[in-house]
Amino acid sequence: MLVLGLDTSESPGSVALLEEANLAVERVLPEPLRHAECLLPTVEALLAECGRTRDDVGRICVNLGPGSFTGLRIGLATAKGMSQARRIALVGVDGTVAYRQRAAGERRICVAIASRRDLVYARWFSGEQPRSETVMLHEADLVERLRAEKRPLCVIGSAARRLVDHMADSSCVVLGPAEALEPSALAVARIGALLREGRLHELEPTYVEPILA
Amino acid sequence: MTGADSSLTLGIETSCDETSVAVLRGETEILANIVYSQVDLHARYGGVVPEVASRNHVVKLPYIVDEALACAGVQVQEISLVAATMGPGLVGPLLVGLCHAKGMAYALRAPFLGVNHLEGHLFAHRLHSPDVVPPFMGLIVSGGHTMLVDVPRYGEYYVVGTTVDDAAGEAIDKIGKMIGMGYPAGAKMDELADSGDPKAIPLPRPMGDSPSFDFSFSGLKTAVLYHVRKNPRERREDIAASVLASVVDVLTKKSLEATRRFHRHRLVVVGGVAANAHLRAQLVAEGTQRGIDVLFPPIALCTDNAAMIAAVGAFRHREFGEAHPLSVSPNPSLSF
Repeated sequence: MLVLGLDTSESPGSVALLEEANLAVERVLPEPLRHAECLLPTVEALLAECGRTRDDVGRICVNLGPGSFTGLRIGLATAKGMSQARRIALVGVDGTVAYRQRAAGERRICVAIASRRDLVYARWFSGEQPRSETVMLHEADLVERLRAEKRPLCVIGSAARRLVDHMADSSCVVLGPAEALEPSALAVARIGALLREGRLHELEPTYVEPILA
Repeated sequence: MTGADSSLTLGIETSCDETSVAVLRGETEILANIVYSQVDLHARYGGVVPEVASRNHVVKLPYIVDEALACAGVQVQEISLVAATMGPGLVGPLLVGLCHAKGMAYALRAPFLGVNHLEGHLFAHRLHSPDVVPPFMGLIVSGGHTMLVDVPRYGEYYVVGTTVDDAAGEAIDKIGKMIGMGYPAGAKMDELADSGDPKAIPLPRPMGDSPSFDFSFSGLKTAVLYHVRKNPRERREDIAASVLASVVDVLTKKSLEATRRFHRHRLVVVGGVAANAHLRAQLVAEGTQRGIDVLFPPIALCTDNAAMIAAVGAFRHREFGEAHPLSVSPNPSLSF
């Protein structure tokens, strides 16, 4: 079955196609911050390149966040529309788990996803298991928390590089593998391919923060 | 009838705080027009909060699509055109409807059209009275817009005047909030005004004597504020009646004058404020005196709804062969 992965949670966004052992391709959206314009044209281009059509897609996996609220809604609304029109199975994937899967060998992990200004979404994992919910922190507070680490910890996610730059004096905190430092629709597709189908109507982005009105 | 006349258009409208989906057969037959209003969600904030609206649209929209299809008694694969509002409006809410619509059109292999919400308002008239065709003068008056548009024929529009600051409905809501009516204030203001004296407070008629057809309503709010500070015991009924008298006077005078100046014999009034009983009464009375037919589509078509969006989509697709690429994105400040 052909699985379509969508990730518009951050910039750059990406789309991916995955089919068991046959196919695993990813394409980065050409223009950052223009997810709504680029998403479907990029899906169409990638399908054509792989000799497939939209009618072959049997499952859509979409990154539910955390990330940019607007970006998350662009991906999810597009996925819901496609799913609703042709009853294509839809699966929402937690963005922290999609990062976590790409640092396979590591035991203790902190996923750090850049938010606006100096804010970072953070979640800790022990092996495969999350040790916390995703929280939002000021970068300085997260740096302080990471400095206090006494055991080896691998930092991944889009904010990891920036964080680890502040950690030159720490012997415990290390930067994760390059493939785990950027969002990836292929990682979303790989995880979503194994999950149970979600309920189209109930899927919502993971906002983490309440609304500040 | 040809095959094209029975084709089905799905319309989606999410430009503000209404989640609406419609199914249209041909260009004017409404099979379903479901409107879910989030107004209660926003009432406690005293106005529409874009982030609240966006979050709500992404959850509600699939339900409303299902409901519209069920109400119309059609299968989704029978839809041959998808249309969604692309502006003007709030960018977050617009994105949700537009992306959902594009996703559906893409999967269905149906053409997609992004629709101008303002043109949609004018099509409320076409849905209700397909045989009463342009030319006419259109008055679009709502919480977001106050605009006079000359319509020589559908698809051709000339903006004659527009608000330079607040929309009429926005001014009414802000004044309502100021005197403790809660949000939204339109209906309540209309009701209170019935038992108030419209001459109680001498409010200005903003730009009422200006030769231009533009409007300005923000000064009215300031005038009420100063008056209420000086006269804290003023009856709310009298405030409501005086505010509406000012707004309705200006709207009536300019709309009828614009209609005459452009040699039109009909004025079509659309948008949420078209529901206002005082505006209706005065426009009809003064219009009749001047030989102008003043037409109000039913209120359900005047307020934000997806049938009017589907109607524009179906018309433009047939008339101009119009369809948009999937790269189309919202334009929050779209005009004519």
